[in-house]
Amino acid sequence: MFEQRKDFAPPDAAQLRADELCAGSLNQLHRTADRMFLWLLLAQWAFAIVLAVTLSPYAWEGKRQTIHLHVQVAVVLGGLINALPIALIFLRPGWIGTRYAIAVVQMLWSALLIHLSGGRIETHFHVFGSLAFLAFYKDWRILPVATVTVALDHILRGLFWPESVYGTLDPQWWRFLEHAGWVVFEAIVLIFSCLRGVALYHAIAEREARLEGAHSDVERQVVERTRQLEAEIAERKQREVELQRARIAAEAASRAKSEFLANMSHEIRTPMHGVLGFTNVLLETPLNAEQREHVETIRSSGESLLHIINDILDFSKVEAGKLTVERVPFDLRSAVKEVAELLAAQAHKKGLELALKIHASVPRSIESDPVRVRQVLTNLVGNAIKFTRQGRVRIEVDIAPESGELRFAVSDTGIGVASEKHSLLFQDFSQADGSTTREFGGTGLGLAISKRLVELMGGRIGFTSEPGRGSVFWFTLPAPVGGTLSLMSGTANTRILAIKNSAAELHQPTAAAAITSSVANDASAHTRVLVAEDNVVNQRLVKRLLEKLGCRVDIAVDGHEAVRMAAEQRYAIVFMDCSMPEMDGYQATAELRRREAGSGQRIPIVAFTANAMAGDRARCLEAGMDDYLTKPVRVGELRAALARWTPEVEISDRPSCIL
Amino acid sequence: MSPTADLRPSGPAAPGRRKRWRLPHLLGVFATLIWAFAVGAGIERVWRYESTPGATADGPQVWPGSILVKPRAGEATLVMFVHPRCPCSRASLAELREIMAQANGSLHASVLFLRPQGTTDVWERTSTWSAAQNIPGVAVSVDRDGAEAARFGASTSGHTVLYSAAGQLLFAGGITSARGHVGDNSGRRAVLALLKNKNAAAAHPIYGCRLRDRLPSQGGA
Repeated sequence: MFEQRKDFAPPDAAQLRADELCAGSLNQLHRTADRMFLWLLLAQWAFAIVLAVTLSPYAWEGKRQTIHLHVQVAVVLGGLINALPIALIFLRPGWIGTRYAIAVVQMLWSALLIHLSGGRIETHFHVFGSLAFLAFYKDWRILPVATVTVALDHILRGLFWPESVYGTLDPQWWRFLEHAGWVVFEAIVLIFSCLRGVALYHAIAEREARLEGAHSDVERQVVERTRQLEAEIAERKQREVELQRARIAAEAASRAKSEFLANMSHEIRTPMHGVLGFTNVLLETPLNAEQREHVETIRSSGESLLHIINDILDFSKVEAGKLTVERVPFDLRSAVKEVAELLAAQAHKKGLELALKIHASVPRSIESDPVRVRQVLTNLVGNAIKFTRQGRVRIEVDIAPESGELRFAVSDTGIGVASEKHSLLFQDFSQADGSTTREFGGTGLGLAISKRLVELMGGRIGFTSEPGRGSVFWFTLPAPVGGTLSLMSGTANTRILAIKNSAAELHQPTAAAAITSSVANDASAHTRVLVAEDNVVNQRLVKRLLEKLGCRVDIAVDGHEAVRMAAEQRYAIVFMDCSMPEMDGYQATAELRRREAGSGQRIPIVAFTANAMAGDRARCLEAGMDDYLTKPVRVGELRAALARWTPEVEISDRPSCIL
Repeated sequence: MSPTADLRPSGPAAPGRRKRWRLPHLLGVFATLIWAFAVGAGIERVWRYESTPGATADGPQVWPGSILVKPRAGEATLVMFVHPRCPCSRASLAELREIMAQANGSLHASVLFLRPQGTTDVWERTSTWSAAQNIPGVAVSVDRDGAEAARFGASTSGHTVLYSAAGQLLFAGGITSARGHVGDNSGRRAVLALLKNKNAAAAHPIYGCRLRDRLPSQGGA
């Protein structure tokens, strides 16, 4: 039952394709066989003609000859017999009717040859050869046709002319069966062979159809997958475009934030510059004790506020990933000494001993970020001074023997850090406890920022502490030896005499008076300094401070005026505000440098700006400036800058001016 | 013509669709019938030609005497007249070889090859002449201008006469079944039977070329 249903089931596509392929292959075979039989038929015809012409060219009557009928038969009848199959081979190659015609004609040729040869037994082999040749078609249907043709010929001739078939006048009745039997036997064998051959063709076609199906499936899958990939790629591209837009938007937002921070920095530092500067100026005026105490409080509060602002700005840059460090050669010893010099007054005020020890193995020049190194060191030393009530603070710079790194250590005899608070110390906004903030102030960001800065510079930071006995805060830096020192780092001729660059430890108090005692000579009255500054308060402050340092100060309100004045008057140094109307400090510096080109002269230009963002210093140097001071400027920084860039000029010293 | 298109004529007709006979089909069938008829006619013509005997004439009932053939005492005498260039007569010589083999030396046989008047001395020297010479016990001679053939009444190549030792005519006719056909036939059987003194037909159709030019009044092949 199942088989019946299967038989009646409609053939699937693969089976139909297999049938189509098999039919195509067989048709190709039939066409090939048709062409082969075309040549065979022509060869038989030609052979018959040659045979007739050779053996019986003429019929004779005495000495008169005529063309023998055999020749006529070979030419005419042979051509006639061949006419139908040859025409069909050309008109309908591969058609079954063509094969039938060929089968009949081939057997007619056999009959004709047998007949013409007088029933020679050898001629019968033509029948068997022809049947085998016909089997080349792999079409069993033509074999019975050929067999029937032979049988009919034998039956007819056996009846009327037996000796032409059997070679005897009185053949036995079974001679027909004998002859036909052999032919049928061969035909059966050949039919079986044809059926097997066709089955083989079917099997090959089915395999090919399955292969085609598999290829088709693969191609379809490839096309489908390609379409999916194209869609995915398009989607990804779309996502990338959106990400790009988002990135551009984020970058724009980041730029806006950076600009905001820069503006904040500038806008806050500028008034603070005035506040702190004139507080210092006020302190130089005659004040009673109460007034001096109040002004000192104002200065202290202002400096604390400035410190907090700096910490917050730095921390915002850390959070935004904008905190960057440079890698330039600079004079490490001078940088450390500058830090000590800046903080010496603070230590002295608290009655602390500030000592500096730089080992002889420390290279003079290294490659790192001098500003950030100073910042970290200032933070650590400032903390040490802040949290030490009595005793000493010591700065030590050495080369770590195990790693070869530079090691900065700031030790104090301060309050120390409880062990349970150690893990909090480098976290943002963390101090040992709330009472610390209340007692000592500060944002709690200094160590977190220092840690990030040290890590950015490729170093490590840490501390050891014993509550009540003091702490040692240290940080390391890679110590690649620097190349040519930058102009900014050219503080070789330091005026800090109280702190010696030697392996010997220094124990005496580093009082500000001692530090500055050697620079007490009056400045030459003819030292002229140009200050380009648009802010009136800053103009007055800087002018006042520089005049205190013994300089004659001219003020330019913008870049144009600065350029004009520099052209009219020779100045020892120019302090150039970067942000000015009309022509800013960068443009003015570029113009000055352009005018100097080829003259052999180069006036020192020190940037003087409230911009304290990353990259500002580099931008100033690129514009042609030689040094960089940030507002609010301290008199010590002014003095140091004057000392660096006008070494031939003696600078007056007023201890009270040191901030 | 594509393979698929080729298959259409031989493939099964689609269900519900009757094959339409168009003019090319009808012409094809008609041409095939014409061809079959022509081939059949041609074969019939061949068959008829092969089985149509040549002219026969009554020969002398008693040995007429011959310049070329001298009967031997106590032996039957067989004389065959052959046109040396008749292709059909090779079969007659083949049958003669068979008779000679079966006669077992009791037969005196001669083959007389026609040399028409006005031909060269080697006109009769053909492969047929050689074949006759190669038959054991057979004498081969030239019958100039068919004089002997005329004496024995032979006008068709392959004409064979058999006389008894006493000079009586036993058989006159052909010893093949058709033109150029080798094999068992009534003529050969009759000769062999008569040689064994058995009753047999005294005549048999002769299949071969004419020995003499046909006279205007004569017909036949």
